Amino acid sequence: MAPSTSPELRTVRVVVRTGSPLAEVFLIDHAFALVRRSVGDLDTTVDPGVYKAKAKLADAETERLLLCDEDREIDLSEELRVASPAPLSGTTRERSMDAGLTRNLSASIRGGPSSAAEVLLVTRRWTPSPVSLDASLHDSSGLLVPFPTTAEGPAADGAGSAVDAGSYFLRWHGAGDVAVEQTIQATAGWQTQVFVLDEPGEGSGLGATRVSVQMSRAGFDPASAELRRAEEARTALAEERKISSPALEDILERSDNPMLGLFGAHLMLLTRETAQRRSPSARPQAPVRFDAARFERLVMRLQSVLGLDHPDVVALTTQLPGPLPTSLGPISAPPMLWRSWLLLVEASNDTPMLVSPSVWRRAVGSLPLRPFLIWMTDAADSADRLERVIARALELEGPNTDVRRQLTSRLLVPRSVVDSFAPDR
Amino acid sequence: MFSSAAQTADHAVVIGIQRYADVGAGWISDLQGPDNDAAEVATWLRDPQGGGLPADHVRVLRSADAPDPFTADRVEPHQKLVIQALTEVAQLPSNAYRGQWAGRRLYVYVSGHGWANRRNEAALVTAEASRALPINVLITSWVEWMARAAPFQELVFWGDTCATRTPLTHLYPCDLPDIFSMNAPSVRTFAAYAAPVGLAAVENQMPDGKWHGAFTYALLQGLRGAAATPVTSDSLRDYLLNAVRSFISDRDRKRATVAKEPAFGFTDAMEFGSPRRPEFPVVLRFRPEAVGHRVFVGNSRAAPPVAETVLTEPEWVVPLAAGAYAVFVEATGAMQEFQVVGGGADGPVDVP
Repeated sequence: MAPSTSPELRTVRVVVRTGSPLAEVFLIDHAFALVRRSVGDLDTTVDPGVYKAKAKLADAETERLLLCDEDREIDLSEELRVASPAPLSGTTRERSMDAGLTRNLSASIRGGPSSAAEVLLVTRRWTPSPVSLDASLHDSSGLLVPFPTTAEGPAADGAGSAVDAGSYFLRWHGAGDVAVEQTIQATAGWQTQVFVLDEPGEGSGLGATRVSVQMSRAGFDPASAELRRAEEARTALAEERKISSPALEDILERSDNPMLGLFGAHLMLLTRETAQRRSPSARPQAPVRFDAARFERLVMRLQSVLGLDHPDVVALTTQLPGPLPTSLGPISAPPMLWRSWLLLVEASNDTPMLVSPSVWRRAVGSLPLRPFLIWMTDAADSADRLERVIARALELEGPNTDVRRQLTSRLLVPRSVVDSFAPDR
Repeated sequence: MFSSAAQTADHAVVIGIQRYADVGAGWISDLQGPDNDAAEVATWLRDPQGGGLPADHVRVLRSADAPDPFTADRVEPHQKLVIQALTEVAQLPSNAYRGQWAGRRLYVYVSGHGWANRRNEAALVTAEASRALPINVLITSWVEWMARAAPFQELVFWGDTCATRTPLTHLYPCDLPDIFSMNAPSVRTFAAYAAPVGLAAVENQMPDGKWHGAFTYALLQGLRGAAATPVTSDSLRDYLLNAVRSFISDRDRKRATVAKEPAFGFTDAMEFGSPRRPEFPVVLRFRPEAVGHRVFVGNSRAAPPVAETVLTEPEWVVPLAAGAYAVFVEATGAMQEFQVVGGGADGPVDVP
């Protein structure tokens, strides 16, 4: 038999740059089949052919057709500019006057004792017509930081103050003039920066007012690459993207930005969930992984920076191996992040004291806005209705542990509330 | 293995809700595509070359079958009708197929206004919904119930609804008693959603002159062979991910709140037929100096061309199956990549 004369197998190198380790990249062949995927940049070899490179970052996405009959390298970073409530350089909602205002406001509340906590609240309107935002910051005793907005107000405004460390509540009005709240944690030695971007118009709905929370020790820097990374992580968490790659873990390990740490820790847990659910598939999978040791180190660092009484830190601590620390007390306010709330409600099955009925009642009107836990302030009816459902279910099915556990997860109600209706108490 | 033979053990629930009673209140609008879409999905399901279902196994609820305008006693399809249709298939005799199933495959298709709060969730807003009482059916909770109770070996869910978020208490889930069948682990599911959670699905006037949801129009193209054949879970998903954007209007493509590509839940392996792959006419426009020279279309310069010609005029209409290509002008070295999705959406390609 004559030797084979098949043509020499040749591959070409394809590099797709995105400018962010949090971007997702997909390489699709001429038959629309996904052949490679990556998080961050893509650097791969493929058979020669026509491909589509698709990239997503936060709310930005782009795609480009590529003839790859020789090595190709493309840069899609310019097409992946994200939108942010914070006036950050390089984002699509950047306005230099907003950045200047924010930097000045941020600096104006600095200079107090280094142990003080600071809160900066900036609201911006991305619309030609003035819109009242009526955002304000409260503690449990009442209005703390009045926020000066009127229907004729400027396009950006803000206020800031030194405050005691602890939990505060940002109150604003969402679609349909519904008053909503979310927790804002102030930490000693840090400036918590709250940004509200109102962008009404087409598609305005529950998500039209976008909120971001950042933390800084050095004021507001619109050019901060770390802040932009945190914004990318916030959006990725809102969309529950599976992007926790070794590159992201490297960033989390190097960064001392607590918000990036919180977002990143939850992104890591999302990857763990995916790994647990994933069924065998021949299709290319995202190169993501869950590194338990790195997650543990990250949570320990968040414990030391934010404190063990921070509700989101409490939530993440429940995911560490071993028994919960004895110093882990009940949370005094709902957490900032929706996924922290899920973890706390689940953990309350084993540690009912973690979430008290009063904390649950405050957040019972939770809204489907992500990644933060945001709730309607006027939702007493929801609490009453859920309590009736719990009482009836326990009456019908009995107060055994399985029923109680099912009720907590099905109704997203902490165990302390379920237990308060158990007949054997 | 799928064949074009009748699938006598398959069932379907097809729902299109186009008109809503409370449009005057301003919180909801009528749509233009769901009646067309439900009708065409039902046609494909009953087509021996498509789904191959017996006609009476396809339960269809459409606004077109309700009085227009609504009468006081018939605001339809309403929540009870939708639940009734789903309950009927959930309660089919459980040994009708191979002694242990009610059927081989269940298709659930819905089109209309919708909500979602999380991934893999679709609530269909029903015709009688009002601002005060936003009635709906959480369709995916029914599909999940089917997956646990396992009356069918395979579940197919296609949802052409918005996935915009709504307060948690507003969704109405399946209220059948929970059943976990021993067959549940072997149930295969394919679930495709027009929009990822948080985003809106859109409709458009399509090249066939009628209004359709962009997702459903692409779905039907894919099922009819625009997706690589045999049409499988993978090839249908690949096609939808690449084609839906082409069926969205330019205006909607610019809106951040609109989904440009669909989302998928489980995509377990299954087949949707082996139609002959259609070819779609693509207009390639060349510079005048290319006339008289050989041009060819292919996947690379070196591979055998898919089509070639010597240009006699600056425009060449070439029939191509859906996919990504490049066109080459041999004499000048000019090249242009382009993609074909079919369905009449492919515009002319200008070659430099």
